[in-house]
Amino acid sequence: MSERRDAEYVEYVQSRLTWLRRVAFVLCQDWYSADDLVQVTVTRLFAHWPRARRMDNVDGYVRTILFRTFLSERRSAWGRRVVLAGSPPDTVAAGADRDAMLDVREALATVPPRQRATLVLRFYCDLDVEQAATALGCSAGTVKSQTAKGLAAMRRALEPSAGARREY
Amino acid sequence: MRTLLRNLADTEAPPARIDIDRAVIQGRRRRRLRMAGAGGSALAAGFAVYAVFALVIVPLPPNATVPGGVLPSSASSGAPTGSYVSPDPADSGLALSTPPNPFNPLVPYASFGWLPQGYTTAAAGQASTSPDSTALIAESGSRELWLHVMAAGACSSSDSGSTLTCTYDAGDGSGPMPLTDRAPDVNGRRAYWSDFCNIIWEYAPDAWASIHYGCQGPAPASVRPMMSRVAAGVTYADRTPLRFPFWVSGMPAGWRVSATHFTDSPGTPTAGSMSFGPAAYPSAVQLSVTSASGSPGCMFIRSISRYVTVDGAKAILQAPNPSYHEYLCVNNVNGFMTGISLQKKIPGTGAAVPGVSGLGGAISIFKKIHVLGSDPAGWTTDPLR
Repeated sequence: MSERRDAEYVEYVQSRLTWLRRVAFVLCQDWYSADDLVQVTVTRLFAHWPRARRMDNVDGYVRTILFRTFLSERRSAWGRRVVLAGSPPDTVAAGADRDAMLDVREALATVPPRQRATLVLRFYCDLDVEQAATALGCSAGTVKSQTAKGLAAMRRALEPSAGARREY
Repeated sequence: MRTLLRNLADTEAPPARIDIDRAVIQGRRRRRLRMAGAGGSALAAGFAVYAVFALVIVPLPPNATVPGGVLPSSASSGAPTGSYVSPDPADSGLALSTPPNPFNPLVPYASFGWLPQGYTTAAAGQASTSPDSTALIAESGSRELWLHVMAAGACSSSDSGSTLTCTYDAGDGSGPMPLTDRAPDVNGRRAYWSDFCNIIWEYAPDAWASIHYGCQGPAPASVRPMMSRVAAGVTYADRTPLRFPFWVSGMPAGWRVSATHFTDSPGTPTAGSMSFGPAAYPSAVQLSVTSASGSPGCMFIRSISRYVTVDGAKAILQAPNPSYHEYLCVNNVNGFMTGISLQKKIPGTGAAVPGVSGLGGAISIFKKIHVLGSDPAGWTTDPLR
C-alpha cells in the first residue's frame, strides 16, 4: 500500500515538474533558486501525500505549498538572494525580444516578494482574487491591494526602458 | 502583464536539479515530525495543581469508551485516575514559569500526563525538539496521539482572531487554522477543535499546543472527551536533558544543535538524531546514530547511490550533486547504524553554508563521530563539542 502511494507520488511529481519549475522561475528569476524552491515544495508534498492525493485539486494544493514556501523563505535570514558568480546565463527562448525580457525580469525583481507572488498567481497562474487569497493565506482585500501595488511597481520599473526603446 | 509573464517563463530551462528520491527520504522524515495543523499550548500562570485541573476538564460520563480502553468510572467524580504517564522527576510537579522562547533543542519542554488505557510514549525516535516546539507521540496499536507544544510567539492569530498560523506550518499548504469551533477550555484557557483532527489550546499567553488524533477532518465526537482529557494532563517544564549515544568533534565554530529526534522513555529520554549547523542554515547537517539491531539497513537507490568503504565499514553514499548535498549511510559499526545528510548550499539562495567548505564532506563528518556504546548510563548530554 505504501509502495503504491509512493509510486503515485513519484509519477505525479514527474508529470508536474516542468510546470512547477516554470512557476518557480517566474517567482525567483533564476533557475538555481527555482529548483531549490521546487525541491522544498515536493519534499513538503511528500510529507503530506497521504492526505494530498485524496484532494480534488492536487495541483492547487502544490501551488499553495510552493508560493507559501517562497514567501516564508524570503522572510527568513537565509531567504536573501545571492547571485552566484559564474552561474550559467539563462537563455531567452528563440524569437523573443531579449532586451524586453531582461527588462521584465529586472522589473519583476524589484517588486517586493508578496506583491510579486500575487502578480504571478493572478496573471501567470490565472487565479481569481479569491483563489489567490486562499493560496497566499490572506484576505481578498489584501490580494487586490497587493495586485495594484505590484502592477504600479512594474509600471514604474518598466517605463524608462519602454521610453528608451521608443527612441529607436 | 499576463503576456509579459508567459513570455518570461518561456526562458530555456537548464536540466532540472530536482531530486525526487531525496524528496522522498526527507519527506518521510518530515512526515514523522509533522502533524496537520498548528497548535500551541500554554498553561496560565495561575496553574496550581495537576490533579485539580484534571478535575475541571470535561465531565465524563461513567464508563465512557474511548479507543484503547474504557475510562475509569471514577473519572466522572473528578478523581484523577487512569493511565497517567509519570511526569519527569525534573518537572518539580508542575510548578510553571513563563515558557522559554526559544526552546532549548537539547531539553524537551513537555510531557504527556494522562493517557487512555493502552497508550505508551516509548515509540523509538519519534518525539522531537526544535527551537519552536516539542513534539511527542503516544501510540496504541495503529492509533496515535501527537502532542505539539509550541514556544511563545511561534503561532499568531489573525487580526480578527478567527484563524491561527504557526511559523513551522508556513509553506505546507495546510494554512491558517480556523479558531471558530470552541472546545471545552483546557485548564481554564481557550481551546478549539480544528478541521485537522486536533484540539488546539493556548497554554500560556501567546503560546499554543495541540493534540492530533490521526484522522481526516474534524475529530469525531466519540474521541473528543478523551482528547480534552489528554490535553488537560499535559505538563509544561524543561525535562531531563536528552542523552545521546555519540558526540561530534571538530565542527566549525558557532555551529549549534537546532533539532533532535528522541525516544520518550519515562525518566530518561534518549536521542538518536540531531540537526546542527550555523545560524544561517541551522539544519545543514542531519545526523542519526541508532541501534543497528532490527534495522532494515541503509537504503540503496539505484539512480543515485554507490557503495563506499569507510574505516573498513561498508557504507552507501548518495551524492547526485556533490557540490550541493551528500548523504552517507554506514550500516553497522559497533552495533550502530549512522546516517549523515550534509547540505552544502542554502536552499533558495545557492550560497554556500558558512563553514561547510572546511568539513570535507559526509565521510569526514563520520570520522569525527565518537560512539559511546550501548549503555545509556555512559551517554552524553553534550553531543556537539
